[in-house]
Amino acid sequence: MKPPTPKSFMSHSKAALLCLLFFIPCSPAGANPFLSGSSSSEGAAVQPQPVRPPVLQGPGELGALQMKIRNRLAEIFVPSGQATPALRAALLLTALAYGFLHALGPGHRKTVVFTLFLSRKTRWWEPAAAGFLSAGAHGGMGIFLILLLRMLNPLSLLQDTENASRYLEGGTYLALALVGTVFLAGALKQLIRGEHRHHHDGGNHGAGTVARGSRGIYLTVLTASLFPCPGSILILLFSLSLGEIGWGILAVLFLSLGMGVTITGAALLARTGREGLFRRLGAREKGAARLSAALESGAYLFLVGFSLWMAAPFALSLFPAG
Amino acid sequence: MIGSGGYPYYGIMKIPKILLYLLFAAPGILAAHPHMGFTAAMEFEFSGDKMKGVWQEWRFDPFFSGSIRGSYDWNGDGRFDLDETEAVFAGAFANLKNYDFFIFYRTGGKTLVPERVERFSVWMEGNTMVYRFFVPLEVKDREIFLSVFDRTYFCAITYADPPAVTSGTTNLAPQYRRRENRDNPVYYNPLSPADDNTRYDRWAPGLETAYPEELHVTF
Repeated sequence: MKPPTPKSFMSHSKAALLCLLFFIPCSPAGANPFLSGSSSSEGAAVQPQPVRPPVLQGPGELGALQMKIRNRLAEIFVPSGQATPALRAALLLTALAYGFLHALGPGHRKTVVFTLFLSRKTRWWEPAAAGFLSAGAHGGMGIFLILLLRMLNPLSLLQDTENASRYLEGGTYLALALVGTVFLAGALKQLIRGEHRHHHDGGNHGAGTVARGSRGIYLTVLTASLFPCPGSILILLFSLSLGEIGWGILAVLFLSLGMGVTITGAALLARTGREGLFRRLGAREKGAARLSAALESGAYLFLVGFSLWMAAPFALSLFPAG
Repeated sequence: MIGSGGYPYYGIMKIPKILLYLLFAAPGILAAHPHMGFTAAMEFEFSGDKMKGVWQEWRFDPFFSGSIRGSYDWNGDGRFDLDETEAVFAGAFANLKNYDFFIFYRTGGKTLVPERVERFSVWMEGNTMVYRFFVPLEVKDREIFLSVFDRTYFCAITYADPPAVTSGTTNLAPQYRRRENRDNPVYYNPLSPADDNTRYDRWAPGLETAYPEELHVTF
């Protein structure tokens, strides 16, 4: 097997940065155009706008495949009286496949996870931990929200869920901007003082170095993911209409597992790109340390700017003119 | 030296290439991200030799159908009575005005969108919910190009087969033809907020271009 040349390593690091650019516009799930998002209570003073819609989109093969799988999911999601164990197993496996495909499209916090894993040195298993944490929070928030709102007012469940989703998605972006600002300040402080930790990706690291590097990743991922996935909301509402909320929750958990695989892929891609870059620069310790500090600061700067930009329509709608 | 001596990195680096493809590098594959879908059937209404408008009949996917039924069929009888229909209209349809009801049509050399729709009704056919409503059209020619298109791509929209039929009293025999018109795209700003319904007549930097499949009607 022909070993790669240094040039190919650099190509991969460039590819990783290119990927980052691809990720930039891909974050929110978008609002349902059919739903007004207005509160069930009449005369609500504030009508929250959704965050910016996703960008990389179009009627591609993935969309058609997703709809096909989702319709299949609906076909085999039958009331308990008609269900067989094989049908229930098929339901969960289909939800898993749907989750994997669903998260391939724009949204689901791949941008955030990718940026974080580009900015920090992490252990090999951490992309999976962050990916499944993000997907779990994303799906879990849908379950929590539906159960809560159903208890409060079952007659306006759809509207209230849409409304709450807008607040949560906008809120997570604002929180992400705040968390990113704190990390950015820390990274810049280290960069200016020249205290940044050194990276010897090809060498022997102490666990402490890595632990310090991954600090905050999970908090950030969790902060970013605490809003409901529209796919999970639809499955739960559908299961409610069948009187099968228990199986709806199980299906959403499997959906989250599928999404977790995809988000893990994004994190793994960033981590591998970063590793490649620092492996290349490993012999030049000073340059690598400086680059690491700059990369970390740049990633947080991007994260803060991106979050504010995405949240802008939502944030501005909270303060209507006049 | 990097990469020498059986260094395993080369093998590892093959994985990102696959991920690159899956996650980013195939725009046609990764692009779409619909969360719901419906099939649009159309019925063009004529009076004499004039086209009055078009009836839209949208059949929704089972998940969205179930969501609406679960939220608005308050008495659980599987039907939408007058109050429930009004609630569906207000809560799960009227907002489409901000999206031009997903309808674009071109007549007399101009692209137009409906200002309003009329006679909205909703019912269930098994697990499928159906919306039906009338769209008045200002037709200034003997032909019209009409597309049903969600520029946010939240909805995957397909046309029924056949996509359109004729209704009303007329001796005309309108012809319906589906096509993708590459000469008359829809321009939209992908970075704008979801409530931005600005329509663009021509491409400008920053705008995306879509070529929705349209129905060419001649009569």
